[in-house]
Amino acid sequence: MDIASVFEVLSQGKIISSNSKKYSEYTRFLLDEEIFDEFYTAASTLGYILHSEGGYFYLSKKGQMNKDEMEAYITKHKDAILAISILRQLRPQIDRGSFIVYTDLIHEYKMQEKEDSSISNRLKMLVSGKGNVDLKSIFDALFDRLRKFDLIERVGDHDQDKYKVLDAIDYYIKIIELSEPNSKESK
Amino acid sequence: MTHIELISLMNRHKKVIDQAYKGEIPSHIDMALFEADIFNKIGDRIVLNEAYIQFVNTMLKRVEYGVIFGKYAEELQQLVTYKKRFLETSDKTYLNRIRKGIEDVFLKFKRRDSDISVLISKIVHENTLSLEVILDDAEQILLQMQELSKASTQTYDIFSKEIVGLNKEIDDLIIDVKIDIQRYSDNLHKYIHRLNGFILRTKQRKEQNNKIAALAQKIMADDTSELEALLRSDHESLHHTFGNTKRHKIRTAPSQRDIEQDRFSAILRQIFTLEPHKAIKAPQTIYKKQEVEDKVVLNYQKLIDDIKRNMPEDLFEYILNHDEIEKFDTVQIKRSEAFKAFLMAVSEHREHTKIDDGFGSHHIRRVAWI
Repeated sequence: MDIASVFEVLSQGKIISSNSKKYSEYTRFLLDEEIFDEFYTAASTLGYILHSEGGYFYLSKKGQMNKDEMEAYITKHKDAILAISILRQLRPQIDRGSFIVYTDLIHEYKMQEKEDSSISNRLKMLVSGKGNVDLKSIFDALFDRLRKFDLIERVGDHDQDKYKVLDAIDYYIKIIELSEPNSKESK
Repeated sequence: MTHIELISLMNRHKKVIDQAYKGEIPSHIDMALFEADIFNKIGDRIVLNEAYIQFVNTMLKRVEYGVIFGKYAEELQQLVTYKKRFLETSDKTYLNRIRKGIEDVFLKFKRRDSDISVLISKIVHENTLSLEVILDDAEQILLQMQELSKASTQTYDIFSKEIVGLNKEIDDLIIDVKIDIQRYSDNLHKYIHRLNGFILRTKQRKEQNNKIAALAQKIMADDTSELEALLRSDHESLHHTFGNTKRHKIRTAPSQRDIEQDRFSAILRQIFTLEPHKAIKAPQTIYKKQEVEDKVVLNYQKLIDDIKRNMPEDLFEYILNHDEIEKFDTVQIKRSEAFKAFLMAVSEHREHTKIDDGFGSHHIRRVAWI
């Protein structure tokens, strides 16, 4: 394990969560204070800031973003928030370290969509197009996005139905809390 | 009413029934629900049928904390009664009953300790119920546990103060049991602490979920100015979305200089803008060809020496015709150089000169060398 390998992962836009099995080696590496400082300096020279908080690591960009970067950055955050809103509606108590099961989620969705059309609208907005016509392909696309947002990770090789919720979910929840500081309790 | 009719009725009024199940009092309840005994009136109060609540709890696998916690007061009271009877009658049957009673209470404590531990794990990891139901259950359990904590202290006191001293066998049993009861009591405090934490987290999560739903609604309505302002203002501390997501790789990283946007855009402009170069005009200065020039210099000393030797009567005339002046090109220069030499000689050697009143051939006063 070296700084270059970690940088390669982080510079793909990944958020490395401490509770991720896939990236456990990276986390252990970054938890070493000296290595973290060294990486911090190296990333800084390349124009990035390495962040470590709440059990997850990611890079931010120093200085101004260009128009395209800013657009991609805002879109990704919005999409991730929509994805979390779907997850939390289907499983209100899930949090970092919780497990979700693909089929259970589809089942719950079927129960809820009849009552609340907003969930299907959000889902459609998130995974629109690309031939996502039936529920399975829509949920495949949703899980694919959740994985790409580094929010979930498949548990085990054989049990392909079960996923672990990663620490990175807290990153987005923190932004939501900042953006909605005084949201009134509904219901 | 048939079963299917009952299900249909409940389906029609599911929101009202759900509200009542969650402990809220619905504002309007259809009479059909009273007729089907789903709701009952007790005086002015309206309650959901207890049998229905039990049925739902079983179906939803909600924790049955009533069974776990049980009642202790009666058993403890019984022990105190047996003690009184024993003291009155000295009948050892009561001693046996007391021993059996202590063992029962102890076993209950023991079983309850493991049951509560399982119960709390179950509720903390409950994944299918709504947060409202989980919170409700957790708060109920917490109340029961707080009651239980008091009961533990009470049991401990009754064993130590009321029952002790009747018989050595019972005293030994009480000592053993008290140690364990103390341990279970400590555990109970830990469970209460854990459950308190869980309730707090669940309440926060409930609030969080409201915020998530509110923000998602804004995103759907394209009303995201606040979120965008937050993201824009704080982008240096937030996760950077790296370039082309299809490639998933950054082959080159920008240098520090690239990051400075002004400079970077200037470099890009330089690269991608083609501006015709203006022809550079040659400088207008005309350079003369350098020529070798023989500098003609008058040997003044030689001139003076010749003057001293020849002692001319007309000094200027002599100088003008001297070889040293002959060296010069033009008549003009010859006259100028001769005049300068003449003035120098006169001024330097005044004592050897005699200035005449008259003028010489070149309209210059005649000076004789003496």
